[in-house]
Amino acid sequence: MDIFVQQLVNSLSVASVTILIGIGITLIFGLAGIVNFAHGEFLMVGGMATWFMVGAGMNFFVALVLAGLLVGALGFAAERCLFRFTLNRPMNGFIMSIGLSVILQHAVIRVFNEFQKSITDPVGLVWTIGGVDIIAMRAIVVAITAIIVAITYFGISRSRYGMALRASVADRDTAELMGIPVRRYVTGVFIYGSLLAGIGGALMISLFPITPFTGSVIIIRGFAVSLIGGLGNVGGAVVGGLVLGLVDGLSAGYGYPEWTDAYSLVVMILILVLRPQGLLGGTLGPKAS
Amino acid sequence: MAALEVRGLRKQFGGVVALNGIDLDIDTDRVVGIVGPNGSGKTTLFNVVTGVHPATGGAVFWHGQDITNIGAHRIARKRLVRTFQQAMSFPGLTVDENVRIAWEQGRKGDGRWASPGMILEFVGLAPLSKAIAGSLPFGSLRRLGLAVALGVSPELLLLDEPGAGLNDSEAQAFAAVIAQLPPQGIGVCLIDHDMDMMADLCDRLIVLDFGTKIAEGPPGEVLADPKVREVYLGPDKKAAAS
Repeated sequence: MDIFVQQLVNSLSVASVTILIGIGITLIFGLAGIVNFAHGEFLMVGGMATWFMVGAGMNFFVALVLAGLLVGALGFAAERCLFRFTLNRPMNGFIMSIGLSVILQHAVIRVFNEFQKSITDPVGLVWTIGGVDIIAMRAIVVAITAIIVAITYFGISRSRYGMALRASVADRDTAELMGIPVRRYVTGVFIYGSLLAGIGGALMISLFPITPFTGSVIIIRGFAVSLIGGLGNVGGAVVGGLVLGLVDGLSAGYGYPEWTDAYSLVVMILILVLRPQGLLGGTLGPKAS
Repeated sequence: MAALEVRGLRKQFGGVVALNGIDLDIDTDRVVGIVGPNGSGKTTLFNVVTGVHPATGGAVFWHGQDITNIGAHRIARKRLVRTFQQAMSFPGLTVDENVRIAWEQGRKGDGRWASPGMILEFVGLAPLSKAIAGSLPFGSLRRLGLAVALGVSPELLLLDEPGAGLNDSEAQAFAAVIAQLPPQGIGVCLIDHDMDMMADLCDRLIVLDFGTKIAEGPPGEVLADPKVREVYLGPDKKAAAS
């Protein structure tokens, strides 16, 4: 039982990172129709920036915020300089994002090197709750993600801007004719999604080592999360992340750990075959005009 | 000076000339109808005026300001609002949410509607405010499209075939709602194929054919115009009719 609870917490902490990247992917796809393959590299850059800042003596949580802002700025630059020109040609955006992903990998290797990077546990505590040992940093990762998910969810479902965003995801043309500045929302979503990827990268390096190639692995998981829940659906990204995190954690604990990725992708394939719109229903993305 | 002035408006799709130098003046205190056969450029005219498609030439002025090609959302924010042939709504959201989204955008306008509920009352959809838009019957969906457009606080509303697909009683009820708009300071310019409804509802008719304006004036005069009769009935039938 103790091992099960520990595996559950581990699963949730892994799920947290994939949820953060999944929310960004799902929002960007839902609004802009762009399958942004570079989103994984945004996470990697966030992790590398955190490694650099912590190595330079900065407090981890300050570095986390700065990494989020840095990658948010990177997302802003990518949208303004690249993806705004592919808004009506999503396939061009997809191919461009693959190119950007490779460029970011090489840029990071050039600035640092290709070896894996890690930081010491920023908290360094183990909490014993009901006889179960829980690594505090893992619980903090889950808590930070829960706060971000709550802010995102309520922001989207309750606020004026969130309603306009949902309208823009549902039908870009109609939203524009209501006076909603959809292009500005696309930029905002790129910044927010990228900021979450940066925070996800910071949280990830607090748990695991990362390399310049981590992004290309995590992006598959990010898309799996988004597709399982339903592309374009924020709630779906959370559910997808939890499903994948649990499958990961529990298979690592009780199945064949080397098969962890395969289990996750089998779950994704099964869901897409049996329920193509994802568990909570998603969008096909905006119409290309 | 009319609120909406269209001068020499042209739109080409490749080699096809959809609008060929259209001139229009539309004010906000009346109902103006745009009629013409299929492919005459009516919807294209709305699309270009409201920034959905860029103009190839000519200009659109709104209260004297050039708004040609400035983008759909900017034009809507200037309270020049249009609807599509399909009802303008978000099927996954409730009726209230649909109107609220538009109202949030439009409430900085003239503040005509104190709440989205007032708009729903006006179009007769208040009892269905909690219904999911996608589950509405067609007639109610049309009303929702109108409610959404009204939410943006339009000064001039361009309605693209609002009566399409409605049965006679629904179309009459819809026309009655439209007729209430000009007295409230909301001008209406609408496209429809129901000539009886257009003749009853409109103060003025504009007839397009092959992207060109061929007639304009009070409905009685326009419908008696030989050029208009030829467009609608064809030369042989016209001869037979006369």
